[in-house]
This record gives sequence, structure tokens and C-alpha cells, in this order.
Amino acid sequence: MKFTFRTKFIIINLAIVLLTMLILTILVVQGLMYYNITSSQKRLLDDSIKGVFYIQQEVKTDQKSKNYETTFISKSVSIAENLASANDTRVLLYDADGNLITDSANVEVGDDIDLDEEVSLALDDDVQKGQSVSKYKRLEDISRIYNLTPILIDDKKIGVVAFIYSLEFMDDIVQKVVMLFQASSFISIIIIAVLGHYLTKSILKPIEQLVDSTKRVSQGNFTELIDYHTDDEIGELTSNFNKMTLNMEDKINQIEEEKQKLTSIISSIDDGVIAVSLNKKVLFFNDKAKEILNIPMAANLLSYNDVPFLLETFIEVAEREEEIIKQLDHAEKHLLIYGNLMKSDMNSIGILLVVRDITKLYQLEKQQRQFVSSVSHELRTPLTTIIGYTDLLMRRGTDNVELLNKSLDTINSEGQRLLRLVDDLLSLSKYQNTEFKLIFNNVDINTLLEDVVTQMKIKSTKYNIDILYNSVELPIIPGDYDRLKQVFINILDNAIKYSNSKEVIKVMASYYDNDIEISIRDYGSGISQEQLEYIFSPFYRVDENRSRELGGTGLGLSIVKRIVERHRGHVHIESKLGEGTMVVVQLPIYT
Amino acid sequence: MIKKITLVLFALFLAGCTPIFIKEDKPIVLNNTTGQTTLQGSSGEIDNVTIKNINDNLTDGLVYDMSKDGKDLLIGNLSDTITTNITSAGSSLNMHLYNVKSNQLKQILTSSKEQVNGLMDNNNDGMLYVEYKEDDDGKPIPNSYTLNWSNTVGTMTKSISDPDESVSEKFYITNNTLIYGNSNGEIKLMDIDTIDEENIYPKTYQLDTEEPLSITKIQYHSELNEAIFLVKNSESNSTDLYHVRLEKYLLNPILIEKNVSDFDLAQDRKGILYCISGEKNKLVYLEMLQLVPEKDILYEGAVKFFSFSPDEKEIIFSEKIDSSSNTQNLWIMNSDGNELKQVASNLKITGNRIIFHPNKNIIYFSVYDIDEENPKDFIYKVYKIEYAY
Repeated sequence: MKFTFRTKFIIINLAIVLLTMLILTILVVQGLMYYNITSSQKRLLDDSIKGVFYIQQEVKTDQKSKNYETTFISKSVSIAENLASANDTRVLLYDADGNLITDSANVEVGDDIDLDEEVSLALDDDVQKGQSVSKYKRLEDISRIYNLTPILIDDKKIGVVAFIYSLEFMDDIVQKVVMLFQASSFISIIIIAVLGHYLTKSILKPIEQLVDSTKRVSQGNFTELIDYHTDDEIGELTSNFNKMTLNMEDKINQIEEEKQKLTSIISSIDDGVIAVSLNKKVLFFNDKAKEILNIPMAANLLSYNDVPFLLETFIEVAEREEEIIKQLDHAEKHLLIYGNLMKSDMNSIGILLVVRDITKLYQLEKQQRQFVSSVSHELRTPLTTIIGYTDLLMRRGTDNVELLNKSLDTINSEGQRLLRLVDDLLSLSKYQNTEFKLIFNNVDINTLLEDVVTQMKIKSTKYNIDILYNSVELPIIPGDYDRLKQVFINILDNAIKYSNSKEVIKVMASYYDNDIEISIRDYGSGISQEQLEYIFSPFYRVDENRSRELGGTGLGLSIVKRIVERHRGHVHIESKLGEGTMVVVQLPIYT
Repeated sequence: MIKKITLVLFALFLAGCTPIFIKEDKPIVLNNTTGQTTLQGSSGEIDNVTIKNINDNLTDGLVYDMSKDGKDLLIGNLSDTITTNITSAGSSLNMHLYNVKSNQLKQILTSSKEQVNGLMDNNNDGMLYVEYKEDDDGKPIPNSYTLNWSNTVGTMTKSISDPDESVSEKFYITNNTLIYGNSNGEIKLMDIDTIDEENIYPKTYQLDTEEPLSITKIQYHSELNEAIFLVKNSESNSTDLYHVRLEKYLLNPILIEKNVSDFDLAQDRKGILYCISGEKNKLVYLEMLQLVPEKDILYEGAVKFFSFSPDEKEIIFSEKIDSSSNTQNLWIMNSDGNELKQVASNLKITGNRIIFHPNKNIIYFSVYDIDEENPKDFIYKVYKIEYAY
């Protein structure tokens, strides 16, 4: 059974009151009895002294007899009666031998009182003038005091006078007092129970409010303030509680803000951030990490089975207790992983991993390496030829005119090729550099195409290839004239290279809502699907030998792509082996 | 802890009504010196005088006075048994002289009136007494008190007071001066030697008050020329104590105390012993010569009769045993209120006062009893106690 604070409070009060009543009763009863008995004793003592004097007076009054003892015995009845009525007690008279002579309560001398012991004590020499023998006894539920005094006349004991005083009234009062206290206790219990119930309500109300409010606060509601303004301990408690609540709300708001800030900071980081506690519980796992590691956005738990390298890294960091940086491949991505211990006041509280998707960077690096190696390779080929021939000349001398001419020819053409290569490289790097500015003017593509076709026809007729172009009206578009020219030159160049003799190259231009589309179709050998993938990569040649033979550097389409992209356009190639290739360039009309 | 306490208390509760301070059924010896009695003012022991001799029935009647030589007692109001055969028409035997040695009773006065007070005139061998008339129901007619003188032989009687005045019940003789008051607020002083002359001329003093004061008892201090008297207070039906110096005819009485039942004058000590009525009567001694009179409460209790011993060193007084009865104890104490000694107990003392033998330790007083044959009448007996310390 649950005892509320209130019930306990009331019960304690009840207990205190009952205890107090009990103590009071005992004190009062004992006090009453003590007082009554002692005062009655004293009174009896008094009365007995006076009584002895009176007896003396009565005995001495008798002029006839000089024997006090016989006078005493003869007058005993009247003496006893007078004393009894004067003092309102029962009086017994004993002679000098201790025999009972008269009893004021009984005419016939009865045997119901046994005071022999006391009588003999009174007649004893130990009890002197001015002294009495007193006894308190409880007989048949009535308390009595017995007072016995020796009767001394002229210093001789002639008998004993005994007073028996009933304390019935005292017994009665004590009984009544006890009953009264019992009744009061009963009434007090009722009063306390009833009043306590109502009065404690108002006192304990704020405590109940506090209970409610703390409950609400524990559930997260910080807006509940308690309204209690009395200047007592509970008032202090509630005001402190209110302050505490406001403080908590404040702090929580602050924490929330900080958390928000932190979350947004981390969210703005373009890397995946994973924080794990020392017992491998995930503390933090941002969306970017999920994206990089291909974990669904909705997933909360990090399943280590999908990304075993994470667990391995965690363990590694924990064991080595130092930072670890490594790179690995995962799901077709190249990832840079940085791991370190998270410390708070010199204590490790977990492990932090930062995951960066460097696939592009990696590929770029790869491309750059490839590029460099290709460039080196390309540069080296003509250089070795040149060096070879010069070596030859140096060794053989310049006597052999035929050899000299061939060598010089070859050196020259290889040198030219080298120059072209370097030019193209420069061009490519120029166009790759986004900072390199194109000069945009209004360009009429039609005019440009006519221009280009005319120029390339010169080259194509050498190979017996014709370029066909029909002029058409095209909207003016913004663009860099020279660069755009370069684009079509390069495309046509390729078309010429990969067309066979007597074949044609068709150039067509048209426009749609937002774009101008220029297509250049040749009927050459075509390109396979696999090769199409790499066609725009620098130095990629479909047919290495053919290209080199025709003086190609392998950079043409790269340049085209760069320039077209700088114009916010698209270029793509469609091709089929044995049937030919079509290069389509789309240029936007509006920027 | 609480459990222990509760258990103890429960035990007490059950034992409860047994007194734990007093041993039951065991006789103990108590000293009366340690006990408190109803008597106050006793610094040490309360003792009794040693009674040498008691006579509870010396003779019948109310004892009024004793002669200066201690030979005779002045007795009044004898019971009928003695007077029946001597009653003559309309008169009764009222005053007697009782010789203590011969135990002889000598009749000295026959009067139709009732006596209320009497004093021996030792100078002129006579007695002074106050009489009053009774109506048919036997009650005294108010304002009919007269003061008379008679010789001890009984041959001569004369009236001292005027026929138109009603004298105070109690009068006083000191040295040679007789003093008495009346209901008209007059005080009369007389040289006692002139009492048996043909014409007597008492000096009269008039108390100057709005209403005439009715004097009920008066005494006189000759050296100080002061009269001390009790006046009836008509409103409260009690008496108030006054004093006045008899320096001129018209006097302004000075109130000493209100509600005083009785008083006694100490000639040598120059003080007044009086009793203030109340819940507990206060026996008070007042020194007359103090600049600022300070009263000394000698005793508090149900005091009835009191007076100084002849040498003024002791005071005798009676105290009722309880307020509901007339039975009294008789006590003697020093005049400063110490050393109380019980002289008698359980006696129905009545009359005017307790009389001392002039030079022996003997006291005389009257006790009464109801006449069983005629319950309306009282029987008076003279009690004598001879005591020693």
C-alpha cells in the first residue's frame, strides 16, 4: 500500500498527539495521586497531633480519676466519635498493650482491620512524640491511608490513635481523568484526521504541483512554471525549480543551436564524416558518407558487412593510436580515408573517419599520367628519329648526298611534326584552362562553315575526297569565330584522314529551338563502339599508324570537345564499322 | 528507538493507576515537624503547652470578668436549673460572683433585663454592666442598651448612661477611667472614682460625621489619650475600626481598617490587636506610635476570640476547626506571632472573651451546648485550664 507524503504527515501527527496524550495522562495521574496521598498524609499527621492533644485534654479533664489509662478507656467511645466527626475519618483507639478498644465505624469491636504491626510499631520506643506511623494501602479497589500516633500524656504512652482515611475520591478522580484523556485522545484523532486532511491540502498542494511539473520537464516540456509565491521552504523550492527549468530550457536551446551549427558545418563539408565510439557504436554518420559509400540515405546503422574496410580502419586506428591515411577502391570509386582518435581532455572518446571520393581526382591523375606518358612517347618518337638521322649523318658524314637529302628531309618533317604536336599541346592546354578567355562575338555559323569547307577542300582534293556543303540560313550565335573554326577544321581533318579515296564528306547544318546542329559525315572505315568511348581522350588514335602517317597528333578531338564545351555546346559521334562516322556538334543559340 | 519508548509507555499505561512514588503497604514513620500544618508563622516547632489542670465544668454561665485579686469570677446568664426556684415575677437572676477557691456562687443581681456584658469595678467593689430590653420573641430591642453599675453586695444599683442614649455593648475600664460610646456617635469618659456619687458628669465628645456613628465597642489608651472603637457599618452589616484623640469636643474620627470583627488594646506596648474579616480572618497588630502605621499580620485563619495576656507578652486566640462548625481550638502565641502552642481543642467557646487569671497561668472561658430538653436554649459552662510551658 502506497503511503503518500500527506498520509505519512497525518499519521505522524496522530502518533505525536497520542504519545503526548499518553505522557500527559501518566504525568497527570501520577501527579494527582502523589499530591493527594502526600497531602492527605500530612493532613492526617496534623489531625493526629491535634487529636492526641484533644485526647489528653479529655483525659485530664476528669477530676476524679488520676489514672489516665482507665479514664482513657472509659471515655474512648465519646473521644472516638468526636474525633471521627471533627476530622471526617474513621478513628480506632488502642490501649497501651495494643488491643483495640473502640472503632468509630463499628459499635462492636470487629476484626476486619489488621493494624497490629503498625500499632506495635507506634507503641515502640522508636516512635517519639511528634511522630506518626503512616501506611498507604490499596484494598478492594479503594486506596486508604492509615495514620497511627501514640498517645503521650506526661511522656507516657497510654495508647494509640489510628486514623483511617479513604482516598476513594482520589481513585474516583483518577478514573475520571483517565477516561477524559481517553475521550480527548479519541476526539483528537478524529480532529487531526479530518482537519489534517483538509489543511495539509493547501500546504502540500505546491508539492503536488512540483511533482507534476517535474514529470512534465522529464518528458521534455520546459514551458511549465509553477505559480507559488509564499516565503517558505516550499516557495524557495518552487522558485529554484522554475529557475532550473528556465536554465535547462536555455541550455538545451543553446545545445540545439550548437548542434544545428555543427550539423550544418559538417553537412557543408563535401567529405564523408563518420564518428564511432570506442565500443564501435556509431556517434555520427553524415549524408555525404552514405552517398560515397553507397549506403541508402534512410539507413541509420552502419552495416559493417558492406564496408569492411571501415571496421578494419577503426581497429587499426584504435590499435596504433595514431592517424592513418590510406586510399582504396570501393564500388568503382577511389576513396581517400583519413582516420584518427577523437580526444577530449587527453582522453580518447572515439575514432573519427573522413572519407573523400577522389575518383575524379584519381582518374584525372591517371589521365594526366597517361597524358604525360603519351606526350613523352609522342615527343620521343620524332626526337629519336631526328637524333637517329643526325647521328647517322655525324657518323657517315655528309658525303652521301642521297643519304643527306633523305636524312634532312626526314629530320625536317619530323621536326615539323614535333612543332605541330607542341602547338596542339599548347592549344589543348589553353582550351583546358578555364581561365583562358574566348572572345565572344556574334558568329554566323553558315559563313564560318563555308569558310572552313573552302579551306579544307584544298587538303581534301589532294586525297581525292570531296566536301559537300549546302549553305543555309542560320541564326547568329555568340561565339569565338577562330576557335569555332578550329573545331570544324579538326573534325574535317579527321574525316579526311579516315575517308578513303573518292569518298565524300557531307557537312550539314540546321537549327532547332535552342540549338544549331552541325553534322559532318564521312563514309570511311568507321569506329567501333569500344573505341568511341575513348575517342575524345587526348592522344587517342583509332588507327595509330594511319594517324601518324597523316601527321595527326591525336589531340584533335580533345581540342574540339574542349572548345565546344566552352561554348556550352555538345559534341558526340555516331559511327559504325565499315560504314562511316558522323560527328554532331550542337551549339546553343542563347547563352 | 521509538519502539522501545512506546513499549515503556505502554507498560506505564497499564500499570497506570498505581502510584509509583509511594510504597504500598509499608508503614513509614513521619515527623510532624516536616509536615505542613494549617498554622502559619511558626518558625520552629509547634508544640503544646503542658496542661496541668483542666476543669470542663467549673460552673454554669457566661464568664465576663475576673477580679483583680483573682478570687472571683463575674458570671452571667446562668442556666435555668439553678435559677428556677429563685425566679420572682418578671425578673431573673442574672449576675453572680463565683469564688474560685470555695467554689461558691454568690448571686449579686436580679434584673428584668438581659445582660450582655460586664466588668468588675475593682476600685469601688462593684461591677458595671450593659443591659438591654427583650421583645416578646426574646430578641433584643435595638438601641435599648443601658450602662449600669451595681455593688458586689447587690444592695445598690444605678444607671450610668442617659435614658435617651443606647450605649455600646462593650465598654472599657483602664486605671481610673471608664469609657463608653453610644449610637449617637458620642464618646463618654468618666473618672471611675466618681461613680458612686450622687450626680455623675461624664465628659462627652462628639464625633463629627455626616451620619451619627453607632459605636459597638470602645477602648481607651490613657497615656496617649486615644479612643479606639468599632463602628457599625449599616450598609455592609459589619464593623469598622476607628481611632480618635480626645482633645476637643468635636472630633474627626480616623478610620484604621474596615470590616474588623474585634480588637484588643495593648496599654504598655501601645498597640492595637485587631482582626480583619474575610475569607481567612487576619489577626493584625498595629503599632500606634509609628509615623506611618504599618500593620503586622500575625496570623491568618478562622480566628474568633483573641486577647492579650495581662503582661501583654502573649496573645491567646481561638480558631475554628472548620468554617462549617463552631468548634474551636485554643492557641497561645508570642505577641509577635511566633511559637504557637495549642492550649485546648474541640471546644465550642462562646461569650465575650477569654479571661486570664491576673497572675497565674490559668484561663477561663465559657463553652456552650444545646439543652437536650429545651433545644432552643443553650447551656453554658465555664471552662478552666491551668497550663505550663
